Amino acid sequence: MKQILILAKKDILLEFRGKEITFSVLIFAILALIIFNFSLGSEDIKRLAPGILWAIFSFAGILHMDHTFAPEKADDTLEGLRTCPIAPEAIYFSKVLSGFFFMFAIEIITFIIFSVLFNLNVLIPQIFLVSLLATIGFVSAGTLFAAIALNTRAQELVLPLLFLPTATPLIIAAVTTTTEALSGKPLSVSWLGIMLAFDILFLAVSYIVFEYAIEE
Amino acid sequence: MGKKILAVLSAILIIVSLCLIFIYVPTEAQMGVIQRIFYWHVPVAWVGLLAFFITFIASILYLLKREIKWDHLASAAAEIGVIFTTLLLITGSIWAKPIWGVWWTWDTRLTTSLILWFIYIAYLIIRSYIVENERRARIGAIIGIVGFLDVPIVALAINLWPTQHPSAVIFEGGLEPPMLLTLLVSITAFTVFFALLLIIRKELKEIEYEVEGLKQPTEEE
Amino acid sequence: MVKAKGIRKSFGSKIVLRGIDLQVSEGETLAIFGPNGAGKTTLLKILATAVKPSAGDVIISDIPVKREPLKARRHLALVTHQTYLYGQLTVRENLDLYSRIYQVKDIPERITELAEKLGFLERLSDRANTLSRGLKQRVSIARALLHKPRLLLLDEPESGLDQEAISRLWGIVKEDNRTIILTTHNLEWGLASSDKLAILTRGNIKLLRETAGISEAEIKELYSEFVKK
Repeated sequence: MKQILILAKKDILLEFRGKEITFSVLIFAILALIIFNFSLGSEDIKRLAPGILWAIFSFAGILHMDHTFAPEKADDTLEGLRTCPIAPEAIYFSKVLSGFFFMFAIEIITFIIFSVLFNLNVLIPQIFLVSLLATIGFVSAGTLFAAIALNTRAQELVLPLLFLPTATPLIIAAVTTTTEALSGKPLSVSWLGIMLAFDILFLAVSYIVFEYAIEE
Repeated sequence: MGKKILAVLSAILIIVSLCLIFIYVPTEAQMGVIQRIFYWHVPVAWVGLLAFFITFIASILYLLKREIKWDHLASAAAEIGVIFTTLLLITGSIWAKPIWGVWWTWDTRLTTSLILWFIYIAYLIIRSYIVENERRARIGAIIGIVGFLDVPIVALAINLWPTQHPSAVIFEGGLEPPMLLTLLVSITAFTVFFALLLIIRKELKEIEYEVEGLKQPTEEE
Repeated sequence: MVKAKGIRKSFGSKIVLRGIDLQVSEGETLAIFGPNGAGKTTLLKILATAVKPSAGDVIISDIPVKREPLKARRHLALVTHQTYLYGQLTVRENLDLYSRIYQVKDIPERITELAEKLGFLERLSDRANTLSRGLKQRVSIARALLHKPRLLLLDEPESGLDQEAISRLWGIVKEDNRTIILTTHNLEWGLASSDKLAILTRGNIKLLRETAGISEAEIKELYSEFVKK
């Protein structure tokens, strides 16, 4: 547990030093919003907000998670970590933690900008809960798939090809619950349950198989 | 030897199944002739799922034992599974057109099958990206496990998802005995045929693997 | 101290190591010679638990690596031409990170001590990617020594360092009666600094003996004979 925090702290520090990825992904998300504004008109955007936001987050998430292991590549530090007394699962959970930190931040900032641009307050407590559950699922699956993509040809294609079909339940659930939240209805327990089931499944399975993904 | 028996057996069973479908079984009252596709649609779906289940089990065994034969089995099953899932989507569309008036509808089963198809297409594509075969087997096994475990959640989510079309009621009150018999014969026929394909593909993979090994520069021991 | 039994490694159908047996006692230095592609680096990485062998097992300080990899890793360190440093972190942050991973006690003191010995004290606050090749190598050695490993694995340590730096480092590296396994191209230096030597070609150990009582010329002759075959 302590090791997870040590490693996650390192990843967060590295990201702040590098400054490239999270900021660029955020810019991408806002750009996507603006493109939707031009292609749909601002009235339709309000109506379709849940779908648009989660479509953007899916693609932004892929872009961000594709760089999960980028800082480890320059000097093959992943190999260095393999010679250290660290369980492979600790590496996985540290990446999930740091990935969650940045992805969640991107989502919250995008929500704020959306609220400002389209004069529709989407930053309500229920949305936090939805984002929390969905983002844990995003990064828990994405981190495993990013590890799979390491040292593979056409690396940038691996993550979307795997992530988009497997994460469909998560995306459907996030869109549905966001719609409920925005129309003032209570969130349905079954959809929250599906997100939770997805999160638990991917965290649990990755816990077991992650070491095979990074071994050599 | 076993292959020959399986080949003859599956040929006979498929012919019997065709005879039952087109001659023996009565036409379903509401849907008419098109409903006869059902007797192959269901076995195709069954074989697809069976194939991915075999991929799942073989993937686990590969990670545990690290014997390349499990990877051959897993990938052979996945390839056949993708072909059968493709057939499933096609037969589903053919069936949907006269009944619902459209080639495609975001019906629970069709949509779930489509997602399933994408997951295993990804499995095959990503394998083709990896040159070195130990790594390919290892990564393939991970996808084979994760992909299969994801399927129930996908099915659950799509089932809950409000679709525009009412979910189709295929049969009310179960199947008539002749229909059940035809279906069971067809399922058996396809399962035997699947076993045959699987054995052939797995053996082919073993030969490919051996050839690849022979291509390595020879060295004295 | 270190015992390797029947180590085999193949990457798919490409066989790299074909059954390696090794034994090195506490405090000994083993030098492994061999041409490029002989499997030296792979062997070293297997001993360092970074790469899993396809067959066979390694025992380090009576700990079977296969069963208890984490426990074995507390006692070893690997230095290769990859420095395993994060370029965007400062030297101190890098060493601090690895110290925490190894649960080193009195971290700041230990870092200062090593930085002083290895001569990069004034560069501790610089980012690792601003250092020169040779300096990075020294930081990398400091990283490997943080937890005072009983077994140190060095992959071609002489590359990127001049003769004087090597001999200076050698004293520090050999402290605490440390067991060392190194690979090298440099026969002369390898012989001078080792107790045992091994020749590895095409994934097989062709010779394993004491360094004492054999001249450089003899080794050279044997070496070229094995490599040619």
